[in-house]
This record gives sequence, C-alpha cells and structure tokens, in this order.
Amino acid sequence: MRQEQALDSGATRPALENPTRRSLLLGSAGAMAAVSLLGFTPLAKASEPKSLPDFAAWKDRNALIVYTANTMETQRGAIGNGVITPTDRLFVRNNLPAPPATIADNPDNWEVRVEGVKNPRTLSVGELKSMGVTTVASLLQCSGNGRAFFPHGASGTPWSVGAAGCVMWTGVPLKDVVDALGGPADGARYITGTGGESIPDGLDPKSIMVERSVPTRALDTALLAWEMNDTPLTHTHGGPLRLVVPGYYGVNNVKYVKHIAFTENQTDAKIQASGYRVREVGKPGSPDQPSMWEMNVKSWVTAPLEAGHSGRNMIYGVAFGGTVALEKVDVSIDGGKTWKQGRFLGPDLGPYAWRPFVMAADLSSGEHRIVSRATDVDGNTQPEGRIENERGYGHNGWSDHGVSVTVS
Amino acid sequence: DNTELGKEVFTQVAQPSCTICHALSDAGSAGAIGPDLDELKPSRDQVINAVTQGVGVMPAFETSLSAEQIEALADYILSVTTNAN
Repeated sequence: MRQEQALDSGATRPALENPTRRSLLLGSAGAMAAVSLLGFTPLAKASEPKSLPDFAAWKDRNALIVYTANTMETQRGAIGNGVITPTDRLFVRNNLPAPPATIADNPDNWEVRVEGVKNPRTLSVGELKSMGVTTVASLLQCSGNGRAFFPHGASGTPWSVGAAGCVMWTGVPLKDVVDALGGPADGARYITGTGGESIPDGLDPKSIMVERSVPTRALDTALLAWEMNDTPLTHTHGGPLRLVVPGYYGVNNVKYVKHIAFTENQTDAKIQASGYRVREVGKPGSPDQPSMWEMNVKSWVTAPLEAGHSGRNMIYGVAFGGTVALEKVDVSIDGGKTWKQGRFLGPDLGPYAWRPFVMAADLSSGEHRIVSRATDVDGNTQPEGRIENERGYGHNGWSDHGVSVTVS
Repeated sequence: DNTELGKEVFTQVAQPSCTICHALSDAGSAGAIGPDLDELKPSRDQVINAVTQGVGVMPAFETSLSAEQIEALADYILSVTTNAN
C-alpha cells in the first residue's frame, strides 16, 4: 500500500527520469548497500527497514533512511528537482527525544523567555504573531551531512547527502522582538537559544541539553518560526516554535525554543563547548576550535544515481552557498576531467535556499563518474577533497559527493 | 563468562548509568536519550569506541571504567542483541 502511494507521488513529479526510483521502494536497504560498497560499516546493520518512530509516523517512510528513532535521512533520489522539500520527506535529527506531541496542540500558548535585552520578557507565540512576520526559504542541513564519506569512521550518524532539505520558514524576525524589548543588553556578542526538551534525572543537564550560541551577526536574519512550508510547524520539526538561523547548520536552529538570551559568552553546555567543533582526527572537542555556524558552498547530483541509458540524459542536482548566493554550478560526466556549466532550475528563493540544477549530457555506454561543483558569488568553490576532521563535519568536497552511473 | 559483569556495568557501575539513556530489553531499561540498543545492534568495536571515547552527547567513560569493564560491557550488549533474530 505504501509502495503504491510512493509510485503515485512519483508519477506526479514531472519529467524526472530516475531509473533508480525502485530503490526508494526498498526503503533503507539500497542505501545501506551503497554505504557498504564504500567500505564503511553503517551505523545500523539491520537490513530490514525500520519503522518510523511514533513522533515521526506521518513522514514518508519510502523517502527516508531510518537509522534510529531520532535520525532519519532523506533518500538521495527523493529530492529530485524540487526547489522546496516536501515536509514529509525532510530529514529528522533530534539531539534529544522530542517532547510529547501535545505541546503543539495549542501553539499560540507556547512561551519563550527573552533575556539579555533592555526589557526581558516572557512572550507567547500568540503575542509574537502580533509583533512582526516574515517568510524565508532556507536550507536545513546537519553539520555531519557527508559524514559517511570519511574513511576514518567518524562517530555519529553516517549521513550521505540526505541530512538536508530546503524549506520555507514563517515567523517573526528576531530583530523585531528584540527591538520591542529595548534592544540587546550592552556587551552582547551571542544569541543563545535553549530547547524545551525534558532531561531525565541522573544526568547533568549541561551535558545533554540543546543550547546553542550563534554570533549576534545572525540577528539580521534570525527568526522565531511557527510555520514550515506554509503549515503549522510540527513538533517533529521543532514546533510550536523554532529558532531559525538562515544559512547556519541545523543544530543552531533550536527546536521547541523556550529561552533566548543575548549573552557576552557562548553557553558552556556541552553541545556548544565541545560538541560541533571542527578538529583533527583523534582530538577531543574544545571551545577554541571552529564552531559549526555558517554553512559552506556545496552541491550534489540527485539523478541519475546508478543506471542511465546511452544517449541524452538529464542530470539533476541541488546546489547552495550557505549564507552566500550562488554564482554557478558546473557538472562533469568524466569524474572532474572536463566541466560544463549546469542551468539553475526554478525560481531563485534567495541566498539561503538551494538551487536545483539540470544539465543535459550525452552518455555513452560504460561507467560514468558524475560530479558537480558549485561556486558562490564571492568566488568560494567546492574543493575536490575532504578536510579530514574527527566528527566528519562540513564536508563539501565534490569528489566524494559524485555518483557512479552505469550506462547501457 | 564476563557477560554478568557486563550487565552489572550496564545497570549499576557506570555513572551516569547506561540505563538512563539507552533502551535494552535484557537490562529492563527504556532510556530514550541515546539509541535503542536492541534496534541498533552495535558491533563490539562500536560499543568499545563509544564507551571509551564518547559519541556526541554521550560522555567518555575512559577514566571511570576499566578496560576489562568496558570489554565486558561490549560482550554483554553483543550477547543480548546479536542473537535476538
């Protein structure tokens, strides 16, 4: 039944020729096999597709690779040529178990405390809705998207390319809220957001709480969002209220946000102090290492993925510049020896959104290594290789992100 | 057989206790902070690495547990998860 539904929704996606769609119907097995071929041990070894956890039961199982109850990746072929990622296909990564679904029953009643401003206040979502509103298209991407390609076996979920999606966020600009409360306190250098998850007894809250600090330069774009893709934000994705920092890695977009503070220092919660820090392989995390804030320029092919036919093929993919608009994306069908510029598909939804792209190519019989390389308007371009690092963060090398396609 | 020692480490010795964060039916635990071990079925190396060095929000137990205790823990988890099918 589910498989039939998947076929139906596939058929309504125009002209996306994807011979590997079948792999979508097999759930996670295909992706697991792909990871195994690269010589890595997948985190989850079970070959039977896992069922969706209760808090995400409404998601499209066939579009997702389910690793654990809190980690679900979008299948590479499920993105296709979409500008906006359908909510039921968007990846899920919760650092802590989600609060009960009932917290989103009366979203206007959810309260967030704002401190580190001239006039600290507790505001309900209902009140926030009268203070201002904006809608922004922004890519959501986990810091570890691409971790599966690191040969040292970086610990954490072995995301390939699917811990990413582009969605529309609607909410109040954080700046409007702060202005209404008299502006940030003197000396504020960070915006610190705290999630509303409950923490079990017996643990030091600082060791697991989701509390992230981002530099105050993000105040120009940050928002407190109550809608995603034009519908009320589900608790699966952080509703009733989520701090959204466009262009910043996923972890900074704090779900169930209950506390916002303008602070002189970054929080000493572990997730900030030593988590999400880029360091050499084998080194522990510490506050002096770069934090996962702004995303870098990146792209990958979404079709074809495994098999093509000889002759003209449409090669699809997605590309983004993090916080910087894109200049171009180049595509190679010979593993990077020669490049041709791809064409962006669909409307430009701003610097924080991704741009689907397409390039027509004549493929001859045999093996083709298809890769893509994006360049932003500041001239930043994807490197060929990886920057090796302990946790496998921030990978945007074009070589690893390519696909090997057999043309017959 | 050191799986008895491993179970003791899982349920009592390790601090904070493994049971607070991990579900493992043999140990009667239903923690939901970290992965459900019955589902994850981690390899012996995965357990040893995670417990020794920590993973993400999971702390490192390198200084609070002995190598023998960590290996017993891994053997125990393997013994109650890999044969489950």
